[in-house]
Amino acid sequence: MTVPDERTDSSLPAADARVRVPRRPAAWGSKVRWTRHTVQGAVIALVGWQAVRKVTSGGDSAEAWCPLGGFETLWTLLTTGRTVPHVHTSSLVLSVAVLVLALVGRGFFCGWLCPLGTIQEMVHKAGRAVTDRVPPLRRLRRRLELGAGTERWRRIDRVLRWGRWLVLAWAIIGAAATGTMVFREADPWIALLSVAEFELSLAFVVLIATLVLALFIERPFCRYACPLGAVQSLVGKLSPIAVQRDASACLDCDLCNNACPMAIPVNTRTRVTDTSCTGCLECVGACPSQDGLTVTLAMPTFPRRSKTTVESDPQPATELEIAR
Amino acid sequence: MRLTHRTSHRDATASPARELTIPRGRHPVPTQTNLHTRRVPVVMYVLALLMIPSLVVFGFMTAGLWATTGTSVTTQVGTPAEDGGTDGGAPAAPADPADVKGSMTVQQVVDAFPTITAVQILTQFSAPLDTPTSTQLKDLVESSEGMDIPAVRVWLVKQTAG
Repeated sequence: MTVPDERTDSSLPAADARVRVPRRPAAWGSKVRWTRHTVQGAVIALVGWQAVRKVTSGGDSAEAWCPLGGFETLWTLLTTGRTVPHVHTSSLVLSVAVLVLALVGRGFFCGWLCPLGTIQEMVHKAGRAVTDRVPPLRRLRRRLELGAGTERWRRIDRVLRWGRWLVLAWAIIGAAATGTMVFREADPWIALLSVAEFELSLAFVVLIATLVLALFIERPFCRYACPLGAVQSLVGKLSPIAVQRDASACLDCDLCNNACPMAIPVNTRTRVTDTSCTGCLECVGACPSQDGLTVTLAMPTFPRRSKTTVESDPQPATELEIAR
Repeated sequence: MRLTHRTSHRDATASPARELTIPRGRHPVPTQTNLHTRRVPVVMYVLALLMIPSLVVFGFMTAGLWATTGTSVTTQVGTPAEDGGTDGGAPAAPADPADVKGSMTVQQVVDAFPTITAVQILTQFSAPLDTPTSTQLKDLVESSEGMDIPAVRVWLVKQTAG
C-alpha cells in the first residue's frame, strides 16, 4: 500500500549521511502561540462582559451562548418543531457554526475559541508556574509526571477518554427522552457563563473540580468529559485539513509531543487526525524544523493504479543539503 | 537516544544557522499516506477559520434567525425582527401555551393570549398586583412558591380552552 520515504529508512546507506533541513524562524512558534492567546483572550473578555451584563442589566441567559444546546434540542426540534426549554435560536446558530468549523478545521473551536478550554489552560499554566517556584510542589509534580508516563496511567487515560462519548450520549438521549437539557445541571460551560451570579450548583461544582484537576492535567474536561468536543471529533473526521508530519524533516525530538495539551503522540502520526486534537497548533509552533509539521489540505484525487504513492516532501529535495 | 536529540536541538537553537541537522541514527515513524496534500499557510488557515463562525452567525442574524431569549423556532421564523429580538430583545409572541418561556414578560403573555389579564397572571404567582408587566416570568417564578413555567403553561391551556 504505502512505502516509507527512503530518507527515513535507516537501513539504507543514506542513513549514515547527515541530513540538514530548513529551520523555522526562531520567533515563528511564539507568534502562533501569541496569536492564539490573543484570540482566546478576546473570547474570554466577551464571556466576562456577557456574565457581568447578565447580572447588572439582565442580559442574555447563559444557555443562549451554548452551542451544545443546539445538539441537545435537535431531536425535539425535528419531531415537534419546538426547542427544549432554555434553548434559543442562538444556540442552534452556534451549533451550526461549530459544525461548519469542525468540518473545515476539526477541533479548531476547542483550541482557539472555547472559553472553558482557555481557562483550563490558564489554570494549568498558573499551576506549573507556582510549582516551579516551590520545591516541594515541584518534586510532587515531577513524581506525578513520572507516574503519568507509566503504562498503567496511559491505560487509565485511554479508558477515561471514552467519557466524552458517554456524556454526549447522556446529553443527547437524555434531552430527547425527557424534553429537558439534562446535561445543563452539570454543564461547567453554563456555570462559567453564570459565574458572576455565584450560584452554588452541580454545574459550579463540576467547574471547580475541572479547574482543580487542570492544575495537574492539561484540559481535563476536554479530554474526558466534553460532549461538544465529541461532536466535533465526529464531524472533524470529514475535514480535509490537518497537521501533517514530514518524516524526512522530522528531528524526532519529542518537542511536538510535549507541546500537545491533549497528549497526542504527534511524532508517531503522519496526519494528526486524532479525535482529541484541538487544532491549537502548539505542536506546529514547537517544531523547530520548517517542514517537520505543517498544516495541509488533502486534495481530492482518484486512486492510482500504478505504483504506490509516497507523500512527497512539501519542500523539494533541493533544499536539503547532504553533508558527509 | 533522547540525549542525542536534546543535544541536536540545543545545537540548533544556539547557533544562528538556518538549517537543522537531523541526528544520526534517528528512527522517526515514516510518513505514510496516499493523500495528495497541499500546504496551507498558517495565517490563512487561522484567519479563514476565525471568519467561519462570524460569517455563519452574521448570516443567520441577517436572516432574522438569531434570538438570545426564549422562543420556539417556529414562531421565530414568522416574526423575525419586529419583536423577535436579535440581541437580547423580547421574544416573539407565541400562539401556543407550550411556547411560553421564562424569559417572556407578563405583558408578552397578555399580548399573546388576549383572554388572560396581567392581574390573573400575577395572582397565579401570588405576586403583588402592582408588579410591573415588564417583569419576566422567570423572575416571578423565583419569588413565588410552588409555581413554575410548566405549571403556567398548564394553567394557560386551561384558560384558553375554557
